[in-house]
Amino acid sequence: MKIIACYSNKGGVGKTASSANLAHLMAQAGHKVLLCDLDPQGASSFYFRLKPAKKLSEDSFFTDQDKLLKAIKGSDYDNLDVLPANMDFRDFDIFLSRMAKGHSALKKALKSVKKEYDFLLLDCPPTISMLSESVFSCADWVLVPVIPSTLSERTLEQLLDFFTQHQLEKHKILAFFSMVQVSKKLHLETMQRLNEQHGDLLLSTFIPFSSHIERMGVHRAPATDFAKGTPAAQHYLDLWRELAKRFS
Amino acid sequence: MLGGWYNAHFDDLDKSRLQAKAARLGLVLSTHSLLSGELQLLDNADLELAAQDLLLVKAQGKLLLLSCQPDGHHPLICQAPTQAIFYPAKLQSQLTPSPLPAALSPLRSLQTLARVTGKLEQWLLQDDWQKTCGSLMILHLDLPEPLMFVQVMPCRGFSRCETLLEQWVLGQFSETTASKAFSLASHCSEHPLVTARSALAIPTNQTDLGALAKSWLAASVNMAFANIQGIQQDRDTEYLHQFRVNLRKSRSVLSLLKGGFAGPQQKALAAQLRTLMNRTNELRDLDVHLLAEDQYRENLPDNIKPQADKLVQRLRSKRQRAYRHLSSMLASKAFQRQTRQIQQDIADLPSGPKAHKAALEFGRKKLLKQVQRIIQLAQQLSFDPSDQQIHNLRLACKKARYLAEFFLPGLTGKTILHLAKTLKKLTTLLGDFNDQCVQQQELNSWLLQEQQQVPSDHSYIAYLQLLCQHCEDKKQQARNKIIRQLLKQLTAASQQQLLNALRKTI
Repeated sequence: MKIIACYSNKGGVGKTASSANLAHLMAQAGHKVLLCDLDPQGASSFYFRLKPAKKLSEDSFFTDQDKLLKAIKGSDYDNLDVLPANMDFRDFDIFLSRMAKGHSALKKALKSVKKEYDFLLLDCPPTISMLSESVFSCADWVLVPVIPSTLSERTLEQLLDFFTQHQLEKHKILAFFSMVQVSKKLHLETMQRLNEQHGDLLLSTFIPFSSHIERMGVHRAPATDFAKGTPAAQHYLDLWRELAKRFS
Repeated sequence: MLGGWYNAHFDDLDKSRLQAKAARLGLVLSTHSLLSGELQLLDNADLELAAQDLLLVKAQGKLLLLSCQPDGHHPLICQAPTQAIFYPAKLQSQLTPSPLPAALSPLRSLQTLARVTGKLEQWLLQDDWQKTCGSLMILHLDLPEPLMFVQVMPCRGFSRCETLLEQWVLGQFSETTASKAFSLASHCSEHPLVTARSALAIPTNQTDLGALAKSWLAASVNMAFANIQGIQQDRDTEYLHQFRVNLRKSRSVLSLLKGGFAGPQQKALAAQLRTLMNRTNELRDLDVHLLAEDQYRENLPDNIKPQADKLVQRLRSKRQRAYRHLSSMLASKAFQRQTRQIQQDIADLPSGPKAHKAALEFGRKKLLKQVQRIIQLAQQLSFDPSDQQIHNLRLACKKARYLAEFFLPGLTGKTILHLAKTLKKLTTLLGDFNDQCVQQQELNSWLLQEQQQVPSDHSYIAYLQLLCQHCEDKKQQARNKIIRQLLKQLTAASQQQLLNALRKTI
């Protein structure tokens, strides 16, 4: 099983949309996929029409494997299951900081699902915290959506610094441009500059800004399903193909 | 997961009871029609799928695999290609594995055993967020005794919903029938084709050529005749195709292992088989045209599109006539006498001068020669070879393919499998080219006939001219593919490797 974390310290960059669409495409390609919603807002669970996991508190998530397994729900798509979030997940950091080996707790908790799935996608909340450290430690790849704007660029630099300071494996990071508006000069300039500076960790596929992706909340389904013929869905498909090559 | 076959009618299902029970859990029932109309029941000649309690149904371009086995196979729907029947990837593992024959065998091993009308529905139980918490798949077949396949599709984390559906199903039907797939398939396949295939005897170092050749000849002819009932019932064009494939194999045995039989009798038998084959030519040609129906409709300007319907209509009525003619011939007492006579002639076939030779060595030497001939013919090809040159290459490849099938069973070395795959690929490409040649020839003759009609139908003539042009383009594409394949597969190094591997087998 490969663990892929969709992470950014900045909110609203397209982590959840990317997690939902990529999980759907992976499942369509025949892989068994578990989308694990770590964000207490529960947006990716909402995209798959799943209500919050009532019985899964922050401590049972990390200590009770049976409860964790029971909380997994089948989605409406073949091969794709979801572990829905709930508001208790906001206390993950407090709980992990109290644990002796907090940074490896997530890896341990996810061991129970290892045999069942080919891919585990973690939709992470926008923080740099103990939970993030735990995510970075257990993930095989860290997917980072980057809006080609100044603040988002700064967030990427912060993440890279964090990896350096904590001696984490930088090669795990795979960044891609998200919500790109090619009509904006700033976006094009930022993309060019970042490509020059961090070409090794940037994927060549970008995701355009699209109303179809925004409408995922209305349809409560991945855009790669309800809007599969659209350019946005096509870009996600290209992204998945590029990632599949990297993963293999 | 609960699933099974039930003798019940679709209209007898008590939907309101399920709705009421679901409402108590805050769920709503919605129904979706997935398929309806004519359904085709598919399996291979040995009913291997049905024997595993699997039922493969095709309808409206979709394939549905049904199973009541609790531990493994979920019903699945996958898109079938437009060209009739194939092995879906997921079914490969269900059928007898065999690397060499699989590399050589034709693609269309699955056949339509029966056509029935029916419908497939999916019933969903959804919560107030429209999340599907559980579902049922219901297939109903309109048979004299109504038959239904019902399966509860589980959804992880929604066990209450699954229990509700299972209880409802158990309350609806008094009893389930296990292994219905096999009995249904057997019931629908009242023709000899679905009895076990006669396997070709595998030669050993001790086998005499004469005895082996005779046993192969008898087996191939019997396999051809096993398709007759299928042809008469006209369920699938595959039966006629397999009839001809096996007759062609029989003729190849006669010609490739010629010294194994006495000359005059061998010639007489070959003539009988040729006559038999020729009688089926017209129907097979029309089948090939109708299988390419999509090709006759593609890339047409709007004003010419209606002409395609006219052509297909004409082809269908021609096929109907050809089918009636062949069918009555097959049903005649004279034909039955002829088949018996052929079987008797094979049994009485006297041995020829090479009958005592060791079959394996003889056949593999022959294959080596045939592969050398293919290499020689391929080397003579220019970048724009003539139709005749390609035709000669096709015949050589076909002979090599039959020889490999006869004399290399059990060998699974890398180079031998590579030879099998190369031969299969080449014969497929050469076959495509030949199909285009046959189509072009026919189209040209229809065009000529149409031009001589008074008054002439100009739109139809324009359509046929366009088809001739398309056919020429496709022929050129097929020609290019053959050249590319030859350049790719028959490099000097691989030729040498192949010949060495074959020499080692002798």
